[in-house]
Amino acid sequence: MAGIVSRLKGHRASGSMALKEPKWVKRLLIGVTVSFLFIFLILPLAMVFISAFSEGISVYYASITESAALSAIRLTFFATMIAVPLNLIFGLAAAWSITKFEFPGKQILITLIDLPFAVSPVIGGLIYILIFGSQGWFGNSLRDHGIQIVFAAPGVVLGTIFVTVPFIARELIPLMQAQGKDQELAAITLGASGWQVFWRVTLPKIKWGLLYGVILCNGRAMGEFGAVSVLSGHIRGQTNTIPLHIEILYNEYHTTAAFAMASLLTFLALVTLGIKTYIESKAADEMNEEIS
Amino acid sequence: MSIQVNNIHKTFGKFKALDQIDLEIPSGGLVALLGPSGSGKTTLLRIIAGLDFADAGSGTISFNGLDVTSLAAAKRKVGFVFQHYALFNHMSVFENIAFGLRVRPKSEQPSELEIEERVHKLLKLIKLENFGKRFPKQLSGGQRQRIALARALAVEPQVLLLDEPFGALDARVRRELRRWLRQLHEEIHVTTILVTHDQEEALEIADEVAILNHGKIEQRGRSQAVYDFPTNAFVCEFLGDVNSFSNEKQTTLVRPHEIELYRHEPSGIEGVVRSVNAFGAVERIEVDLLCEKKLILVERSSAVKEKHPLSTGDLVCVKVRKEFIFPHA
Amino acid sequence: MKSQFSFLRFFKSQPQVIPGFGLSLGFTLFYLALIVLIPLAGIFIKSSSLSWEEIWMTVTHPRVLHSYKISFGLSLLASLINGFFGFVIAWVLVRYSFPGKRILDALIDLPFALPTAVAGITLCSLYAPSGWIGRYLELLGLKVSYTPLGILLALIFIGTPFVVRTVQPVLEDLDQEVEEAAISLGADRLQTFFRVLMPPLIPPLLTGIALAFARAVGEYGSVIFIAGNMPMKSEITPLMIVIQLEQYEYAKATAIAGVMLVVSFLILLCINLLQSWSSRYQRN
Repeated sequence: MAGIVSRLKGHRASGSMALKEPKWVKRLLIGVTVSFLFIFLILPLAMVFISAFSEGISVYYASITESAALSAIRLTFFATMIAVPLNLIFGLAAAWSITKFEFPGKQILITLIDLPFAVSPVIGGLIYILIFGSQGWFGNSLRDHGIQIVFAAPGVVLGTIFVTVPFIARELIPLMQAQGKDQELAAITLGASGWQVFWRVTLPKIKWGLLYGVILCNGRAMGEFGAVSVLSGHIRGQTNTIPLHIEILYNEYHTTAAFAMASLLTFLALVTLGIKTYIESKAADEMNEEIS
Repeated sequence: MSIQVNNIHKTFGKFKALDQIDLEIPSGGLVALLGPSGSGKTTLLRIIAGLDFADAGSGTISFNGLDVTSLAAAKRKVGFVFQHYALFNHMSVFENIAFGLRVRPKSEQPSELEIEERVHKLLKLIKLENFGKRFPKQLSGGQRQRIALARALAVEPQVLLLDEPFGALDARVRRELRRWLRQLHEEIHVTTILVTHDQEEALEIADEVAILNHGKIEQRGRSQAVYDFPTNAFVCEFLGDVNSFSNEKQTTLVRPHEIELYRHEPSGIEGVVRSVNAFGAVERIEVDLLCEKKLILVERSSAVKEKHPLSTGDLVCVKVRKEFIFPHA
Repeated sequence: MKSQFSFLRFFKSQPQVIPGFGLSLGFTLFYLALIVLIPLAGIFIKSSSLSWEEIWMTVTHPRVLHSYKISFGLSLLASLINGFFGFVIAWVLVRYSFPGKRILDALIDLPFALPTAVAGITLCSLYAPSGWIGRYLELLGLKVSYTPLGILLALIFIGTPFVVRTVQPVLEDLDQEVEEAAISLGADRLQTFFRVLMPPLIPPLLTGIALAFARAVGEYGSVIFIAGNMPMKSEITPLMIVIQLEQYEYAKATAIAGVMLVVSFLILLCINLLQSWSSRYQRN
């Protein structure tokens, strides 16, 4: 997940003549790159949309508006609406504490924030079953109160939160580290309070990085499969998210319907990439300025 | 407002950044903290501003005799100017300067009209009247630093603290801003502390200088006095070029312009001219001393140069007009 | 003891200039503990409800052992393949210009952005015997979908961005003056590449490979469709956890998860070391 900061330096002109490889080397390398990316990225992308519309617009429309599909879309949005704001607050708090203060154990904290990236999403689902499942620590007391978390919507939400914890923090930490804290200190000597510093000085400086993190977090939250698959009961029309609905359709050989649903998420992914590219080009100068 | 620094210590791990600092800055004065990098001057300035804290158990910082040691930076009413400006790049120049007024609690906030008036007055003071609508990125380094100064002045600080304010600027702009800052200080008379590693800058701007080295104040006094009567070899060497001669007992330091050269002078020390560098008002000559195998630097004014021209290879006699002698401890 | 003491003292007496230290760090630790750390610790607590023997039996069951071979072996292979192609792609994107480059550059991140389930069904359909690519590979006698080869392809797909995105910024940052200096000192292009360019690129390359490996080992969604999931043939370790869960064997699922967690920690440690090694080449 290359952050905005690492991508800021910008492309340099292709250098002097002395640094050129022979023409055939250059052509070979470009050829390898284009074919690799064509086979691995462009072909699958085309496949999604072509399969989705292979039986015409009306079948496509029916596939994404049948009741199970709509309920999957609703649950996906619901989980995302909870996971993204929570992880946004977490990301801001983590980045603020890590970049504005010195304290022992900081490096360990940064590593721990990355943990959900390193752990299999299946494990991310499993841990909540251990806690809230019927055999889990709180399983009995939850059942007594008629609360169901695992194999229900709350479990889906929890799994989504877990896998998206690091996204925003990871964007903000390097960005705020690179920006330093002189502007915040200047604001404080001018009499600003902590919240005033945050809202008026820090937030405007990090808005692009923040937006970028939110978009990535949102994309992952909507598309999460492994953790949610373990935690959802796969009850059609109730605890299925879009990716789980796709799985069921595909396994039942409703290929066109599966790809129709997939095209929604693919479209979202493309929008995410588009916004990301836009932000990068728009923010690059501004943030380079801020950092230098 | 006067500032009293009383017995301040600061350590970073094992490194002693400040070691028992006592300093009194008179109200309305302009004092330079001068020292090489790592001498602790910036740390001292940040502690005065409240941007850093002295070691627990060390002394106090007082403004006008009032102890502010544990007062938060936001409440100290100091104007702090950073080396790299620290302007808010997302705000216009106007909004940058108005920031300190806008963040005041509602009850103390001046009206929009008053803010506008105050900002325009400051823009005039820094001679950037028509720049209010621009953004910091559209300005040169010198202009940005003047904006930073105006921003600090907008809240009517009791003290102005400047941390290497011209450090990031090129030489010509530095010289311009030095003179401008001196004039500005004469207009507004706010107690000012300037941190710099440039002795010329310090001596030119400040009424008084305090010279720091290894976290201690080596000497402090009026600029001219410190230059003329350095109390130790470090201060003497730091304030300007010197030729140094030492033996077991003492170090003798001689400034290049305190040496005279003669063609024939029976009582002088003999030497050979190695190089002559004559651009500008001052001629710089390297002389190889015959008795000591040592190269010394001599500076002569253009008047002397024209009267007694010298060129490479000439045999000369060296006479010292004034020297500083520091016995070894 | 002493370090613990100074640790506590730090939080008690250190005055802070910028406000919000207690609030922000407090919330960070609270949230992280609640969502990530305590639940993960549950893995080790839960597995302790099994005896050592049971744990050992579970994690060394032949089917599970075979899944390690698939998961770790293919992940390693995929990340190495990504290392090679990722390096070439990063080089081409930084050094050459050609039509469509900007779009390709933007598309590199597609495997991050594309939900794994979508990737899974798409790759599976592409490489199925009737699929766009699968039908031609079929003619060559190659079966991809529902075989370990399919798993490898899926892992290469999801690992594509890692190496590109770790090598690319470092390559962009390399001062071309250094190369010019090497050439002016008489080095030829290959010598310049191996002696001047390569050394600072090795740490990010290794970091990228390690990141791709970490992601591949835990990957579930994009693999599960194309894998075919045949016991002793094409089952991945995360699937073994899911299978145990479906049989309500929570303790056994947890034991296998424990093995994966330990491996994840080790990879994370490696990545951290690599990154601090890599930072010595960077400015400030």
